[in-house]
Amino acid sequence: MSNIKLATSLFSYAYEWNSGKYTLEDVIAETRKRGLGTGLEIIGFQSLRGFPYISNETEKEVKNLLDKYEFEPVALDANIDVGIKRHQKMTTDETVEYIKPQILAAQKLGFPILRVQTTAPAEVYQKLVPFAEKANVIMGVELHTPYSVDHPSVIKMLEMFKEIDTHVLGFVPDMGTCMRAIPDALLTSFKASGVTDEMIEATKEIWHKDISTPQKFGELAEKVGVMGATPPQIGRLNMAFSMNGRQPIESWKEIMPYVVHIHGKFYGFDENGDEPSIDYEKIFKVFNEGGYNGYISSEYEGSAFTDEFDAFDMVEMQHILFKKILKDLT
Amino acid sequence: MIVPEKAKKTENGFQFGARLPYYRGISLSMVEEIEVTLDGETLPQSAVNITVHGNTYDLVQREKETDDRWEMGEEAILSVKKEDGLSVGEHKLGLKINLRIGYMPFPSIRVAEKKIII
Repeated sequence: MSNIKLATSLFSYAYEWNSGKYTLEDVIAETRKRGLGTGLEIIGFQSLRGFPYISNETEKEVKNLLDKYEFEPVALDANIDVGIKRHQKMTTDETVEYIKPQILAAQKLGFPILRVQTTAPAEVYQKLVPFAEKANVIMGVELHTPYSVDHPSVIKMLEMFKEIDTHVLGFVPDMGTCMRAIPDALLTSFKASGVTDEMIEATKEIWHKDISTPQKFGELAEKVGVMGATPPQIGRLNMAFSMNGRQPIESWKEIMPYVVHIHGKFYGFDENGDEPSIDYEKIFKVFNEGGYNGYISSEYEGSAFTDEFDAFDMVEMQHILFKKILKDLT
Repeated sequence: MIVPEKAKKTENGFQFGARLPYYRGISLSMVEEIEVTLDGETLPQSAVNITVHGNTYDLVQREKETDDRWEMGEEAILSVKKEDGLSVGEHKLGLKINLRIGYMPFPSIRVAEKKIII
């Protein structure tokens, strides 16, 4: 029996939301109508005007919607925009101050976890521990590709976690870090820039190799260059290496006690309803064996490459797949 | 991302509506480039002002503005200076928006093209 719970991240509806045709209530109501989990994840800068400052009015609105549509607030997503200034990166102290109001936003709205990002180093989160403890908000550092468990920044972060006795530090693994193939939606989008099938095949082949990403960039440039690829086309194809991680799924065991939430990223489905680029059956097995009993949020990423599909339909298909996997999990 | 219904002639050029081609709102300082083309002619970026919820910024002010945001789904007005004005009738409007994402190694670049009627 597994205790892993299902949630939906409103990130999934980026395209629908941006069209201006939906209100916050519309997207939450539709998510409930289709039964897409018991938990909800919201991106502050996407759904809440004025974020990170939350008015009493917004607080009331969000809490009412969660209550009305029976969703448990799971995670609020912060963004750590260290490159906000044009020619200068934020300093450690500036980054600390940039995150503080976002922690208070999670506290005010009743979200137990604030998703934060690896753009801020371990030092920043270490400094924020007392503040987050006071607010009783967990800072969940998202491990998004290329930040897999063996990345130097992640190793440093884990060492820091182990040294500090607190409940407010954790990881949010994103399943785009441990993929089994490059998504078709991404490959198809390359064709719009004139990339040929032959170049795509070469890219796929190199992606599967056990060599470093810079080495992959080099090999790709050489191979598709001969096929006539232009520098912008090579740049597009390089995205396939930067965006799709190949960390072994079992490696999540190394950080398992610190996992506070999971991002169930996905791009599309095959005719059997399976996600060809991400092996969710194995993912659930590994986290279940590791004793994980938190949430996994659906995060539909396909709308970044195609508007062919309705995001509500896509999230529904992922929940059908997840429920089937959970049922078979013993 | 172009809202053609909001296109109209102004005293020193023309303006139109635009929505941010991204999944969340971002501070104006992260809008690296706004490139407008009209009937195939690329207009200088310094000729484009942006107005979000009543606040107008020129290129220099926009690059420094780290607090005010172009919110998700918000219709911004892009006003473009064009000395010889704009003739009545149909025009081909192109827009390229390049966003510097504070936490990503590569920018987000989106292009769009729409017909506008003046």
